[in-house]
Amino acid sequence: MKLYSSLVLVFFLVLVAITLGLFLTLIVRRAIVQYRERKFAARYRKIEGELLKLLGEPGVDGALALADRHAKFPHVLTDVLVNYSRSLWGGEQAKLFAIFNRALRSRFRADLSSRRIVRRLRAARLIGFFVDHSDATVIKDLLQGSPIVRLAAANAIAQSPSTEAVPIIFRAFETDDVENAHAYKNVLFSLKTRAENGIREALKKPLDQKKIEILIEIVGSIPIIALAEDVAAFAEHQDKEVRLRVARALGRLRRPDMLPVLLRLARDKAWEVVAQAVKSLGRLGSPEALDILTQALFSQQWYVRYNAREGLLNMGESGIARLDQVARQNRDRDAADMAAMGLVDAEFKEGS
Amino acid sequence: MPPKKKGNSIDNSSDHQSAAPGPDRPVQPAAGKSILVIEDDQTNQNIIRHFLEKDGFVVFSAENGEEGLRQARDKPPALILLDLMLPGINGFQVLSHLNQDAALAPIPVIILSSLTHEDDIMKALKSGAADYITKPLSPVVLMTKIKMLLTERS
Repeated sequence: MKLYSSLVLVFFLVLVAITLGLFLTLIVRRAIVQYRERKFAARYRKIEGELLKLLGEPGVDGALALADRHAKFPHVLTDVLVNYSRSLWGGEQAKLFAIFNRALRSRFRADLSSRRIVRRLRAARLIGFFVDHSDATVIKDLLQGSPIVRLAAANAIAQSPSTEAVPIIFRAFETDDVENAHAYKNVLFSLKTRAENGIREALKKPLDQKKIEILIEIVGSIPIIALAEDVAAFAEHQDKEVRLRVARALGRLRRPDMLPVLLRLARDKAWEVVAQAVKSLGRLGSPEALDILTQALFSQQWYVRYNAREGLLNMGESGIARLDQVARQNRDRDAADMAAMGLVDAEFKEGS
Repeated sequence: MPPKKKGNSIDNSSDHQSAAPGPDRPVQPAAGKSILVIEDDQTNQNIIRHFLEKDGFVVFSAENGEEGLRQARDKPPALILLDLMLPGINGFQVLSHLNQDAALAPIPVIILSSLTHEDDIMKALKSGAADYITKPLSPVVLMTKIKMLLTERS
């Protein structure tokens, strides 16, 4: 009994010691983190103050001196440079480049292949702002890295105000393995209208079909209206996946002069392309599409009929009149049902 | 994220002249004119404040729309620099409040925004903004536009 009590006591004491130890570790760790944060913030303010004094001054000598003074603090310097690169445009950027080239470029190259993810992340953040022509292969490596590094690189590149960044991204996209092409989707999309020239040039090249599909999709998603003709050039492509994306992109671009292309795609041999073209015609809302949308209500494919119904609803009164006609006929029950459902939707919308 | 920095810690002792090339016509002297900067990004605020103070402007800053409106009512500035994407009420709403206030409506407002879509720019200009500058900022362009606008309005 005595032995048992002693064991319980020892167990209890050990438990108390472990708990206290854990608390102590947490407190010390927190104190260390706070100390580091304070030091980081103080250094950030110091670098920022010195950098601000340089802005508006001629030449980059001051920037080079600043780089030499703070080269020992690459994390802080990176933060300052990334924030200021995001905010500044024009001649003042030369100073940021000078600081980067002097204090961080060689370290940045080494960090790109570092085994530590934190270092690769830091390199990924920098690349968007301080990229140059020799970095195309580096971009490829980063976009093939682990998801978090890939995301950081993609964000940094897409936010980069540098005019150099866009052609480099396209070069990397065009030359990279097709398996990695999807990693570029977000990057290209984030470029928004800055991607226009790159996409136009890329669509003229003999790229892999998957890459062409991605580019066409992006034109529609951004959307870049000026590229409608470049997209329409693929309307006769032998693969239905490409034609389908053309139909979708043209619908999103909503250019009335693309109506003939969409009307052609609405008669495609593949029902998937027809369904998409019908949907896009509905988006365009052109009265010239009334006949083909009405015809599509009689398709054997549910998706084609559904998109035709939605398209006709988009047309307003003339579309509703067509739905009414089809709902009253008896030769095709499926078409009549779909049209009747469309009329119910129209009534519901009117009521609400 | 840069550490938050309140107030102005920038040394203005430099005798450097404005980075902005003067417009062809004479510009209004900046000294003493106050400018309100409504911008939530600390780095942008620091850059703008630095260049404005270098040219002799008195700068007030606010990190959100409500605070900006309050400051504008307390001390009507000569010009307002307004970000569109703000926490709380956005820049368009601030612009609308300014227009509805008879005392504040004449103050010229320059929009600073990373929104580059034509629709956003047109919406801001139609809502009464005097000019629209996209981010990232070129300090030279910003200063030139501010000076020209103040010269025109005076």
